[in-house]
Amino acid sequence: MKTVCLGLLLALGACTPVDFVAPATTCTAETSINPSFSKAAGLRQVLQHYAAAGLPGCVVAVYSPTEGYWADAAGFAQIENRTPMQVCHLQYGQSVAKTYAAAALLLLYEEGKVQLDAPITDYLPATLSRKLPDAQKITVRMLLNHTSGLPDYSSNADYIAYLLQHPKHRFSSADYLDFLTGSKLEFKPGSKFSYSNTNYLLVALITDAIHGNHVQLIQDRILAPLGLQRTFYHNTPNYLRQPDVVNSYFERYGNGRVENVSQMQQINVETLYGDDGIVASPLDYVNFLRALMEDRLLKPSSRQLMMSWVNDPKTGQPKYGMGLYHIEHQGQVAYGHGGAGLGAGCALYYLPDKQLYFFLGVNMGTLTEGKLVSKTGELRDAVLDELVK
Amino acid sequence: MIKPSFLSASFLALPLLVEGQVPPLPSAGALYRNWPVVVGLQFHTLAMPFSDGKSAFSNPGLSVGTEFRYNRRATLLQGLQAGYYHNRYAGNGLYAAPQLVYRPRFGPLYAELRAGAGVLYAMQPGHSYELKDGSWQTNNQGGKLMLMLPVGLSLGYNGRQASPRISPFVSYQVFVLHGYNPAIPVVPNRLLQAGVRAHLFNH
Repeated sequence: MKTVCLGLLLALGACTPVDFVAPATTCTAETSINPSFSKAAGLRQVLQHYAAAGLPGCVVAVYSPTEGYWADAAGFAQIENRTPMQVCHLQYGQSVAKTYAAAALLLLYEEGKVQLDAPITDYLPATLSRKLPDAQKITVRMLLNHTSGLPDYSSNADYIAYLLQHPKHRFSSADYLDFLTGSKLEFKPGSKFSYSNTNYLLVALITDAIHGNHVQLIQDRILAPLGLQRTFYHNTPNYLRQPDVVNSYFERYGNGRVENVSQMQQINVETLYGDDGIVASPLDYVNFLRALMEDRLLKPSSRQLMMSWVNDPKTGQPKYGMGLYHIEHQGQVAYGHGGAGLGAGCALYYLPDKQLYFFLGVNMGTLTEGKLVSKTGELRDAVLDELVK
Repeated sequence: MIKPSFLSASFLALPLLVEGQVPPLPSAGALYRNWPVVVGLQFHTLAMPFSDGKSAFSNPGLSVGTEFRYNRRATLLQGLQAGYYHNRYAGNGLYAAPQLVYRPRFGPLYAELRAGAGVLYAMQPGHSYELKDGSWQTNNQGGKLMLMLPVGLSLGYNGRQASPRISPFVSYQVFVLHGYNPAIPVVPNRLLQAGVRAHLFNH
């Protein structure tokens, strides 16, 4: 009895805060940038303003054919040891990974190995497709443009609660699909757009089923040929545990205070496949989007497929293609993708009218809301304001 | 056809059900005294109801409380419960919650259905940082006060004494927190409790 009581007291008294801090070091940029980029002063001012307003760290990389590359950062890659945020730090791409996943599957489409209008049951192993509601009614195209009607596993209350209670738990892809058990399609497949991470998890699993290894396909057919040496996507089991990866912060209670959740973020992102799971330097992200838009990655017809938009059911305006969003800012169209995670947020877009590519990254989670999280939206708009001036 | 298993269960329950074979029970109201001390050991999990069973006994804590009755039979009571739990990954919590309690008796046993509203101070699991005067300040486990809405079911044992001094109970409570994050309107939590209600005073 004494032992039990002592154990209980020790358990109650064990109030040492959980420590999710990851190592972070300074790094060296290997790409030269144009110091006299015309928008440099305005963008630098925006970054410094939002770092001073409470964002842990933020970074912008830009490219235009006439002025070349420019990048800058403000704030910290790690608050604890005051490691400054640098343009060479690896940033979490979060859902920007969907653009890579879509491109990888379209490479197989170009080889005739996948039919976009075939049911996903033609490709998915039965062990996985039977976890899904009405899988035979869903086509590959519907996954790519988010019209499948499949519920988003990441919105499942059981999943969110389990993730918060067990931040070091490693989910498998099958585990994520298990959160759909007993669920129904949210609408008739193909009838409307509704963003769901489940769709791109399945895109990756279908690519696995056809090619054998979705990760290797991205490495061999996208990253290597484009020379994206500062992009990492499941290439090793510990690919996120490198000191160049920024630390991640989470405004849990939306009250202006952030926690370092770097290890939680690493574990979470390491288990995400197709819908997330990528880190890269800001300039590597920009170079990827350039290659895509300049038709150096896919055939023009495939890139056009990625830009065949489905409309937003609320506004009736073009919304999403295949791994690409269609957005507008001050009348200027932009194509690309945003990313929001537990400990990071980003945007990777191309402004065709301005011939500008940009990546914006923050090392604070943007999945939730809060006093600081709201500033990340303001930061994105301020960066776009500068770019479209 | 009565199944043998049911028959044997009935024989076990017979002493509890048949009046005359045991001393008659005084009425619940006659037994009850206000302001007992209710203490318990509890385990907290951030989880949806009836899920994550493996974590049921992972995050220990203590609860204390008291109550008073609203009616003579003491089937309707006002309880007040306060408690603390240690939850390394989801954050520790300190709470106080008045609850309305419905407590029917079944022989020496009683059940409870309770619901109420209270407040919970949820601590951040790790160090938190806040930008003040242009520099990041560390705050060792800051937290946030939130609205707590608990409901629960309990089962307890009064025994057959005319004036029970100690009544053990087990309880399953779920509560939602409002205000965790603006993007998450309510967060589900669970408390498993075991404790005793001790009548220390004559009221």
